[in-house]
Amino acid sequence: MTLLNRFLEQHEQTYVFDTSTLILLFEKCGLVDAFAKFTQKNKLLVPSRVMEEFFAGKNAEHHRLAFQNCFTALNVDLADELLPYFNFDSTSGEIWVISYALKNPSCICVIDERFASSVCLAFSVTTIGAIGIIEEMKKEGILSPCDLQGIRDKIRNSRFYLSKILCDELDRICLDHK
Amino acid sequence: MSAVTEYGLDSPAKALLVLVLSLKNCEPMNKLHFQKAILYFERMQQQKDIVFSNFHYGGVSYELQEDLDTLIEYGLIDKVGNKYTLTKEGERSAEELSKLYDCEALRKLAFVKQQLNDLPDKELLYLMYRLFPDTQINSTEFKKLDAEKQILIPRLFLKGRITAHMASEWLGMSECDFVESLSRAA
Repeated sequence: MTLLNRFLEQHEQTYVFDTSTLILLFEKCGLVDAFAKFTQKNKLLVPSRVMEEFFAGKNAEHHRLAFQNCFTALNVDLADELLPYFNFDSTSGEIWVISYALKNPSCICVIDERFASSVCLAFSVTTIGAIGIIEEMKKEGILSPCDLQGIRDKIRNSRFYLSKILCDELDRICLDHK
Repeated sequence: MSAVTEYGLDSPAKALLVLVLSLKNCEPMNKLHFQKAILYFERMQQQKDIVFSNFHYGGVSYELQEDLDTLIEYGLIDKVGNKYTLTKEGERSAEELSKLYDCEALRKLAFVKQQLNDLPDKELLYLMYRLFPDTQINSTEFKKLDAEKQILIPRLFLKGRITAHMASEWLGMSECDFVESLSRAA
């Protein structure tokens, strides 16, 4: 058993993140402390290609240390069967996220893009979006009602596109404190 | 006699017509959509079992059209309005046929039907022209549609038919700028 496998076994859930969800949660919402707590119970993975995309962003570099404390970078082997779905182009991060999930069926892909979610559906890969991660953090008691209100406002005021359905979902999670 | 032998479904064009109509709860398809779905599938499979030529509306196969007419004559396919659907015999044949295809091929065929069948014609044509640029040759439509790319590309992205990476590349902007432009538009 490899060290990574042993480490994964000790964690509740394994998540593998795509770039846009990281930008929204880590950069736009600033959930650095929340992720530091979330990673204690869960394993948070990021394929190298996603890591490259994330750090190519304008504001990402000054988060590097905090990011490395929360997420584990992965060298993923590309799942060739996914290539036809991505028009034989492996440049986008999602193909690497799904590649990992295909070989590790117990892990959950954190993906917001609908195209990649459709590919996940075709391969019966479990997915969750960035808003779903906020809900998981809420369930684990990592985010207080005040934190949730702040996150909602940040997302609503950011220049990050969320569909009407996701905006409603965000309100339900962040404004319902029962 | 098996349906495959009886109706000549060992021909790839006939087989794919029956199979694509059987997927997604036998959702009916129109002529343009099944032409494009089978073209997309052939490109995903990197095979050339069916001959496609590039005409005014991009890649189109006469073979598919002829086989469609034949399958209507055989009573496997019905035409209702401008949509085609499987008859009971067609469904039985599809079931037999699906056992002969590997699950990877069927997964791809289901995916292309899912991705294309509910798209309006303009979005469908534009998506196909952009995914397979060789089909733009001889097109009377591509230039007209490309003039509307600022509308068509975000729509295709929001419907989950392309990645942000593709969308931004087709629009000639960075992925970050593209996502922010969606937010402004919303």
